[in-house]
Amino acid sequence: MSTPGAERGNPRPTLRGAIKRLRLAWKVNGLFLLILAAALGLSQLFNNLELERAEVSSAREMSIATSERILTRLRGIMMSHEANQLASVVTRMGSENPAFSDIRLITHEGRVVASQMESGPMTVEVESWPCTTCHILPTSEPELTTDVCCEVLNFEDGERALSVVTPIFGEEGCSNATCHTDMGANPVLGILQADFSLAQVDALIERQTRHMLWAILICMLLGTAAAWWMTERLVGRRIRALKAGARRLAQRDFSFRFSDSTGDGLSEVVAVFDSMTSDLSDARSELLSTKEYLQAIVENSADMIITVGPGGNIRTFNPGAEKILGYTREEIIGQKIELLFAEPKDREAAIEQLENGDHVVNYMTNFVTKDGDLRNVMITLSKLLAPDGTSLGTMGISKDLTEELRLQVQLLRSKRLAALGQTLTGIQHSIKNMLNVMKGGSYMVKLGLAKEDSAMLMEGWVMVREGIDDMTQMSMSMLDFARTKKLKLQPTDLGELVQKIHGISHAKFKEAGVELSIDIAPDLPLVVCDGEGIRSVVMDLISNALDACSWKEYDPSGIPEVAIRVVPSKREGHIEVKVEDNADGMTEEIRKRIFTPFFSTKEKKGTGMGLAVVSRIVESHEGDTYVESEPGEGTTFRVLLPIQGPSLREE
Amino acid sequence: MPKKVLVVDDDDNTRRFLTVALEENGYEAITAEDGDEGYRKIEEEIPDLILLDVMMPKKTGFSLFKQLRRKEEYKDIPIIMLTGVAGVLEEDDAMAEGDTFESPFDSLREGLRRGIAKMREEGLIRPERFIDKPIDPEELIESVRGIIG
Repeated sequence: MSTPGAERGNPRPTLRGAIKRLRLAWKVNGLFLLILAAALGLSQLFNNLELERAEVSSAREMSIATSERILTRLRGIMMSHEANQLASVVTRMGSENPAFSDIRLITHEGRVVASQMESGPMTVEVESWPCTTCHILPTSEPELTTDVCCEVLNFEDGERALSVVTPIFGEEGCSNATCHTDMGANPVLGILQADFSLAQVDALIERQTRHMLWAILICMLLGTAAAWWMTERLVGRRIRALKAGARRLAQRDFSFRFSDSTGDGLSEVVAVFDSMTSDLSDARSELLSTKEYLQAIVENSADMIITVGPGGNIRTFNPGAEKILGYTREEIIGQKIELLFAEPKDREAAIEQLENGDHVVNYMTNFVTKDGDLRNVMITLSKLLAPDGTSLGTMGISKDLTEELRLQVQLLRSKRLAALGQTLTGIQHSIKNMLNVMKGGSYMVKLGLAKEDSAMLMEGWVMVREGIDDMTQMSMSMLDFARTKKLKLQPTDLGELVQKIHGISHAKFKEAGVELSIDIAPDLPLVVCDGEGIRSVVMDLISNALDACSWKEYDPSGIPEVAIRVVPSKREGHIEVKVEDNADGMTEEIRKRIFTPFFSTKEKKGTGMGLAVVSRIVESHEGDTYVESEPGEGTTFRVLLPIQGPSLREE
Repeated sequence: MPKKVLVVDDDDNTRRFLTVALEENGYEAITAEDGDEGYRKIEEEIPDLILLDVMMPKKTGFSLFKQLRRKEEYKDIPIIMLTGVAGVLEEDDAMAEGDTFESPFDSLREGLRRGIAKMREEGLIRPERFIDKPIDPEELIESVRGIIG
C-alpha cells in the first residue's frame, strides 16, 4: 500500500516509513549484539585452539627433550647391565618431575620393564589402544616405530596427557646387555613412553576461557546497557511521547505537539505525527466549526425552525419554536405537523404550492400553541433534499408576527387618532377664521344700522355672507372628501387637458407675476381617467404653486415660474403629470403632512382640503402622488396615472 | 391728535372691520398685509399700539414681534397678538423645548407655546395681550383702550 505522499513523489516523510525505519533500528541493534557475541565467541574459540596448539607444541618439545634426557640416563644403566635398577630409576625420575603422569619402559614384545604408575610385571597388547599409533600395523609381527611420536591421550576421568614415545634402538654394546634378547631385523628394542600431564595446559586454557567468557558477558551487558541507554534516549522517550500523543488524539485532543529538532530519523516521525495531528486538528476544527456554526444558527434563531420528514412527522424543533409554541422538543418530535396548524388545510395548501417549486415564501397562517393560543406566523417552506435528490421532507422557518401585527394595528389606530386630531384642529382653525369674518361683518351691520349708514351695513352684510359661503364650501369639500364619487372614466388626452388649463389660468398667473409654462411630450397615449377629476387635481396643484410663488421674495433676476409637464413615466404603463415651481419649497415636517385633510399653511385662504382631495382622486385612479421638495429648492408634485385606468374592481 | 393703531393681518376683511371699529372709537388706523409691510409702516408712522396677527404667510407675527422687541426704539410699543388658537394665553407657562417657531404651521398651538417660551428665554417682554379669534370688535376696543387710553 502506497501512501499519498509516495504517489505524488513527495519527499515528505510518512509515519509508516518512519516506523519501518524505527523497527529496523531495533533489529539492527539486536543483530549488532548477536554479531558482537558471535565475533567474541569465535575469537575465543580460535584463541583457545591457538593457545592449545602452542601449549601442546611447547609441551611436546619439552617432553621430547625430557624423553631424550631420560633415555640418555637409562641408556647408561641399561648398558651397564643394571636392568634391575631401571624400575627404581624410572620411578624416581617420574617423581622428580610432577609434569609426568607416567614414564614407562616397554620392550618390543610389550613387556613393561618399568613404570611409574604400575608396579609389578605387566604386558601391553600392541593392538590395544593407544599403542597402534606408534606401531606399524597390521603386520603379524608389529614393528615399532623408528620415529619419535607424540599423541594427546584423553583419559576417562577427563584428564589429558601428551604421550611421547621414543624408540630405543639396539646398539653394539647391547648384545652384552641382559635385557637384550633379539637383535634381528628390527632395530628397535623397545620404547620409552613418557606421558606428560596436560592438566596445567588445560587449567590455563580453562582459566583463559573463563576470563574470556566473563569479558564477553561484561561486554554484552555493557553493550546492552549502552544500546538501551541510546535507544531510550533517542527513541524510547519520543516513542512514549508519540504514544501519549496518539492517546490524546484518540481522546480528540488536537492541541498536542512535539518540539523536536534533533534532525535524526525519528524527528521525521515526530514531524509526520505533528503535521498529521495539525492537519487532523485543522480539518476537525473546520468540520466542527461549520457544524457548530450551523447548529448555532438553528439553536439561537428566535424564529421557529422546524423540519418535517417525508411522512409529515416533526423531526426537529428548535428552541425558538419551543419558546413560541410552548411544546418541548421531546413531546413534539414525531408528532404530525398538522398539530401546529390552526387550519390543517393551510398546511396542505402550502405543501401544494411547494410541489411547484423549491420554496414557498412568506406564507401567512396561524399556529396553535400548546396552550391553545393562536399565533400569526409567516412561513418560508423549503424542500429538504439529500445530495442524491431523494426527499428528506420539508423545512419551515416561521416568524411569529402576532406581536408585530398587534403593534401595527395599534400604530395604525394612533396614526388615525393623530390624523383625526390634526383634522379637527384644522377644522376648528378654519371655522374660527370664518367666524371671525362673520363676527366682524355682524359688527359692521350693527354699526351701519345704528348710524343708518347703509354702505357700512351692506359691507358688513357682504362680509357675513362671505363667511357663510366659505363655510358652505368647506362643508362641501368635506363631503367631497368623505364620499366616493363615481369616476366617469374615458380615454382622455392629458396634453389637451393641460393645454386647456393653461388657457384658463395663464392670465391669472401673469397678473400675479408668475410665469406658467407647459411641456407636453409628443405621441402620448390616451389615458383612461375621469377628466374632470384630473383637471381639478392639476388646478389645485398649480394654485398651490402660485400661492407658494407669491410668498417668496425672488431676487431681482429671479422669475417666479410654474411648469406643468406631461411625460411618460418610468413606471411601466403609466403617465406622469408634474407640477413644478421654483418657490421656497418646504421642510420635511410639512412635506409629511400636506396630504392630511385640513392641514394648511395658508391660514385664512385655504381649507386644508386641497391636497387631501388631490391624493384621494389620484388614489381612486389607482395612481400615486409624490412630492419632492427641499427648503429653498422649489417643489415638484408628480401624479402617476395608469394608462389603462383603474381596474374595475368596484364594478 | 388721535392715537395711531397699526393693524397687521393678511385677511382683507379682518383689516377692514378692525379699521372701522378703531376709527369709530376715535383712533387712527393704519394697516399692513404682512410682517414686512408692517415693519415699514412702523418705521414711517411709529404707532401707539399694534394689533398683530400671528399666522401670516412670509413673515409671521412672531417674527415681527421679536424684531420689534429687540429694537430699542420700538420695544416699548404695546402689542396685542391675534391668534386663532384658543387657550395659548393660559397655557404659555407650559414650556416646550426646541425651536421650530419659524415653521408655526405644524402644530399651531405647539408653535405658539414654543415661540412664547423662547421669547421669555431671550428676555423679551411678552405681548401685552393675546386675543383669540373670532375677534369681538367691541371687546378688542376695550383692550386697546385699557392699554393706550
